[in-house]
Amino acid sequence: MSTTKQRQFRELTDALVEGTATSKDVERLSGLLRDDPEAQDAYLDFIDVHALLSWEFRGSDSAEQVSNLPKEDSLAEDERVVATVTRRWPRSGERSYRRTWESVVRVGLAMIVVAAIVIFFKGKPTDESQPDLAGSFCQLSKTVGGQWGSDRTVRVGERFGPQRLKLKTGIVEVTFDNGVRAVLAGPAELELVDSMNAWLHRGRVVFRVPPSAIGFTLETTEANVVDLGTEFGVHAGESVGTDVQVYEGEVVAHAKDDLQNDSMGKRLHGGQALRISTAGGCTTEELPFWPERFVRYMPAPEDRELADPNDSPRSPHNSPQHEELQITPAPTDVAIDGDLSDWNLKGQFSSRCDPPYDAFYHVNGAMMYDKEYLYIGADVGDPFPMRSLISPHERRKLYGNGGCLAFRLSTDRGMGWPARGQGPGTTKPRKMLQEDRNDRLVFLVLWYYAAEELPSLHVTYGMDWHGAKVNPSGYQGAFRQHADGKGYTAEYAIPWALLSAADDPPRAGDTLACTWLVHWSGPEGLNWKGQLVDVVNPEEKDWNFQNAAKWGRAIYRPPDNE
Amino acid sequence: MDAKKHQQFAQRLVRNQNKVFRYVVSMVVNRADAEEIFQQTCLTLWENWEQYDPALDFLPWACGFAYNHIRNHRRKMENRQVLLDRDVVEQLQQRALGRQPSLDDRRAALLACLEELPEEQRTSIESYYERRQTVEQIAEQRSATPNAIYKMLRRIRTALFQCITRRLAAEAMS
Repeated sequence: MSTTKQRQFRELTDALVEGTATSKDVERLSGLLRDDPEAQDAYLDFIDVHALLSWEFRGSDSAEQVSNLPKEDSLAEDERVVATVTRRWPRSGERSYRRTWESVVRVGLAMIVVAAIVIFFKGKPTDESQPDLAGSFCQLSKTVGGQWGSDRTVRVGERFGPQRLKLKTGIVEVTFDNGVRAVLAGPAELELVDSMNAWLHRGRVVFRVPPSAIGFTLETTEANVVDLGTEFGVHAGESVGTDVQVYEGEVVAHAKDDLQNDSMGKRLHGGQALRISTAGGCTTEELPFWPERFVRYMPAPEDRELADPNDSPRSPHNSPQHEELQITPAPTDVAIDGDLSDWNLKGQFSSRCDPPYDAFYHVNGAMMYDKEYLYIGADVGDPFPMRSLISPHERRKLYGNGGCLAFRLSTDRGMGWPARGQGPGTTKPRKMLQEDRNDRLVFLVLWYYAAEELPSLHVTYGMDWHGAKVNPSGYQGAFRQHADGKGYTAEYAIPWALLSAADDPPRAGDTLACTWLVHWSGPEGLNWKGQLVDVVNPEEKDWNFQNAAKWGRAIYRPPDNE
Repeated sequence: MDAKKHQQFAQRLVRNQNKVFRYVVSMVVNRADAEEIFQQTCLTLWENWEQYDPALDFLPWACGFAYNHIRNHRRKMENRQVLLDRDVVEQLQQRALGRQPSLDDRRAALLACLEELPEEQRTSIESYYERRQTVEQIAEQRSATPNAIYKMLRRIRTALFQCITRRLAAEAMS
């Protein structure tokens, strides 16, 4: 590469790094890189300096964790390795309190624990720190009716440094730069110390900590809670002490008195809860796990705060991640019993709602087929599972308000993908055409009618939803609640005849159209709260499933031996 | 649960995190976007750890998940950010996967080169990369123009790049 070209190349790469590159700059850089391995290597070498600096100066101390991990082969089960973690070079701008870091790497049968870190604060928490934008490490990412102390106005996107947040009412989410997310329910006071430490003075907060921020520590008057890669909630009460509840993973909770005694603390796993009190001497008391102890449920649509005013309160709570779904051949003798262990799950996909609802609202979905049936299987995360009180015996237009799975799909082999058809409710309405009334464009709603423990099915046809059938003969369905009470498994076998395809069902090699919807309700099983939509065609900008072109690809896979 | 496999997965994830992150940044240079994609990738990896075959290289497997998130990100950002052309990114990711053996050496070289940086330059790097100050914020603190700060950061990155290249060449000769 010539010197001139090198200089030009580096200037363009710098502009890209700085975010000052124009579209013309990027076009030129793309031109220089295209089909030129030498230029690509030069670019990757140079950009790696930026990447390495970004990594080494991240706030999560990941680099230190790596450098102190023992060799893979030297770790036996249950072995403990204690290493003192120090920074490679002193950095400016840190608070004056002293930290001692001890990482404990422990490998157990149930969980991998990368590091447990005990932090001693040598100072009192601040009373009312002023925002320090230069040292900011997190930001307000969501708010649902959040009202702040001193009538302070805080907007989504506002950055926070070390300071005390006083939330009067509502729910807000704070996202740290290292991926830690905190959902705070008012009234509450949370002091942000730095990217790895916070102090809860009062109120309820749920933290979700990614693997890269293991060791994140929350302190209260009574306790230190050290995260080991998990999701946990803490309630600092005015008089009862500190409640800690673990949803997933593991934490170590230390009563402050225990810390002085150098105790290893109490390990809590997913599904466990503990109360720590220091009034009248240090006591700990195991609490029953109660999923509803910490608030992270979808608000009613009318209370939903929309990031984009053009969005509808009924907009999905997720960003679709899948354009296609692999529908696999069904094994023989599949039992429809709410247990997918006898399924061919090679086509299974996962989808989650956006934070802060992703922990409780998600789905693992799969479909299979044979000559007689389309099989639908789903593991759904739902804090209020199988509670629908929408009766299939009543005549309704829709049956999903109490929570359901819904599908738009085409069985029209002649049409292929993308599907064509449009119904009322799209952003570009037009007069109904014959193709919109196609019986092979099917709308399925699957729900569990709790009052009669009845797996139910609602089928309509075309984009005009004609020919409605409720619990028709021929289908099989089963629901099973998850053992932790936080979701359910649904399993259905629906004959092709009900999908207008008895004479010509989809076969191996077909690519047709399908989209998945999961609807959630509140605890009463009657009122719709929110939805997730996935397996969609990204080329169609309108999410509305009343436009059949929006449905994703449903690929009917041949048997593995073909 | 296969505890040994889980253990291997967790250790390899921790060891390779910096490489997955660098792979992401090489295609999504915006730090906030790259960080988000990296976090999503880590979560996806944890969700799919049972699919990991310990007999295979961890990094290509993990980068496959990262690339899916990168593609999704590009789709979202196509009309909002200037991005390298799609075919070029595809070529770059192929090229990046082939460079894995040198990544540890490059990182060690950078750490050594950082030690050699003059104090003022090290503070500038910290302001920008650790405290995530914008160029404008740094400029205001130092009573300088943003353009001067841009130039200074460019000079530091270039100096580090040259230092890394020099060190790797010297090691290859020895």
